[in-house]
Amino acid sequence: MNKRNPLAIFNAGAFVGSLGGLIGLGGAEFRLPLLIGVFGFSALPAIILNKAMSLAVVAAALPFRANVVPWLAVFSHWQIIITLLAGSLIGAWLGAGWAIKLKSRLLYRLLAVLLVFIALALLMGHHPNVPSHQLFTGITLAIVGAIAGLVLV
Amino acid sequence: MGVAGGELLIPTIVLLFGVDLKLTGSLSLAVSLPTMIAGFTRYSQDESFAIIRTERKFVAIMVAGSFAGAFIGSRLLGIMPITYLLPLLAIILIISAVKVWQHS
Repeated sequence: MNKRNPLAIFNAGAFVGSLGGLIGLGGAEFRLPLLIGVFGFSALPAIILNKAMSLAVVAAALPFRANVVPWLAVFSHWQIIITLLAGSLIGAWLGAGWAIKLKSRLLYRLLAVLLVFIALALLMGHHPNVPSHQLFTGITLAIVGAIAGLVLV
Repeated sequence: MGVAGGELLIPTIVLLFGVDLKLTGSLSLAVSLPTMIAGFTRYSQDESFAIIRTERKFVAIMVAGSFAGAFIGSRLLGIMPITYLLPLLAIILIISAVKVWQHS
């Protein structure tokens, strides 16, 4: 039986893409198991295809969301974008060079634990209204940006 | 690694600045997009990228589905109350954590 029927491929893309539109994610962790488990790709091709699909989702989601979140609102927070982006581009540049070393078991596990802590922090509603310190916030953003850049590419 | 970038960026912006979750999603996308393009440009000469050409039909259909999904998700964003989004994001983070753990 051919598991790669066009409707299944389209639906898998749409399912993960809807997370991009709704939340603002590329959806890579959700798509990878489908590429491997449902569509039968081996690990490396699946990772490459996954990167391409995540890029498509991110590129489409930003303009599609503009009717709910206007461009002006997004770019009025340019300081946040620029600081995170500075970190993430450095992270991406380093990550591309270290790509093989970074695929370590420890790094994936650290990232998994980090995600659980972040989820709990969100659920506990820890939202400081005033950033503790401008410099601290800027450095934190740049560091998180760098980690995000490392894992994104 | 190609994983969990947005999952890190979104909560960071929310927790540090208390920015509205809908706006935060777009801010995260605005950071992710140039970063992913930069990574993609750097990797694109790698021979492993040939899979995108050899599987171009698969890629084209899934990209079309991804665009449709992103559109549907953005319409859902317009009607979904923000109080539902935060728990949804937390669930997504937990699922992501399990998936990322399984990678290792």
